[in-house]
Amino acid sequence: MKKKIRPQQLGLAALTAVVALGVMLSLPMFKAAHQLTPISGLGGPFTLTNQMGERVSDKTFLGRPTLYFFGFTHCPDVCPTTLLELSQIVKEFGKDRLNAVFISVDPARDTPNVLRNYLQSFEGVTGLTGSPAEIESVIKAFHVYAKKQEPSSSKVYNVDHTASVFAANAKGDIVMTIGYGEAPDMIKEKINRLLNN
Amino acid sequence: MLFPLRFTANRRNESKLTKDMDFDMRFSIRWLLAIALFALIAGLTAAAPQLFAKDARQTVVIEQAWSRATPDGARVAAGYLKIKNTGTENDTLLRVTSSASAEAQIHEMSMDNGLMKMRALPTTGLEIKPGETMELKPGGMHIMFMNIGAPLKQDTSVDAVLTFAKAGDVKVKFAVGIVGATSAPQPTH
Repeated sequence: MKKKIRPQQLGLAALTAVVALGVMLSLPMFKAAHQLTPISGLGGPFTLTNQMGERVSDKTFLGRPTLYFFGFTHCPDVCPTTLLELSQIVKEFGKDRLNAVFISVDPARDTPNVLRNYLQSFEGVTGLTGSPAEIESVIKAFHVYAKKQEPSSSKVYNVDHTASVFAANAKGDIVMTIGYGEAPDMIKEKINRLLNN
Repeated sequence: MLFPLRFTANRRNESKLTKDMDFDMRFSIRWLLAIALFALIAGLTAAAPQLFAKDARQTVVIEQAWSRATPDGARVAAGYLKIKNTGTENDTLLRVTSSASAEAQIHEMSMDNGLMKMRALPTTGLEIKPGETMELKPGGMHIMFMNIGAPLKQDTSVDAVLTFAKAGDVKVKFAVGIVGATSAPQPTH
């Protein structure tokens, strides 16, 4: 004899399934799959000076994700284009949701004042500079390569440098990098992942 | 003896044919000469400006020259353009001068595993083969304006002179787009 399933029973079963799935996904072991894992050995504590002349540290940027980019103001191509991208990201996603930080690899020319003027064109981006030793220390922590080149006849020199963007989570751990020239859709997707982490 | 007879007959026919051909050929050679002469005159007339005016600049065509506005206090700017060699010989971009900057260099940028490197091209310049279009674009080559006298403003232009080994001096106007632009500004009408 066949048992007839009542609609109430079916509803109860469905409800149980939904609750079970919810509990499962909230468990750490399931959540881990969605979480971005820190890239070990990348990043670290630093103390530098921002474009307003204030002393800041890595702690200043905790509480929300941060995008770090290394460059210099005498850079004609990669730096202005990347800074515009960062500025647009901050504008789009909200400056209360993430920070964008530009760290100079050329502290000799990039004083806080130079950075302040320069960054007027890139709203939402914080500029950091420091003593040569401080810059040396932060580029080492981020595994950034920066090498000053021979000056031209009008005394302008270039600095070869790592052009990737380092993305830190709210706790300050570097969890991903964004390469130069990555497609805008790809970048947006990465930022979403960073924010929903 | 059928064969030689036929041979003779053939020969006779042949000679008649040759005579006819001679007549046709003489006729058509005259025509050909007339056409060739006409073509020569027409060609010379068309080519006259290039041949006699010696306007060698026609062998290099510049397209889409642009730069971007510079942030306050920036001392450098990059210029991009397409250079087409429409001539029949290799040509070389030797140098660039601009009233906007103390110095202008031809730079090559390369990305190697996330590392940006930038170098001035050797003084031998940038060679462009006939029929080839050399594109200077973000992430690749650019004209580097160094020690700019004043910030470049959006919707203005930068005047420069490109000196080629064969085409000589070519005047170029770089249209200035937004700060951080990655492509040429759209022309405004």
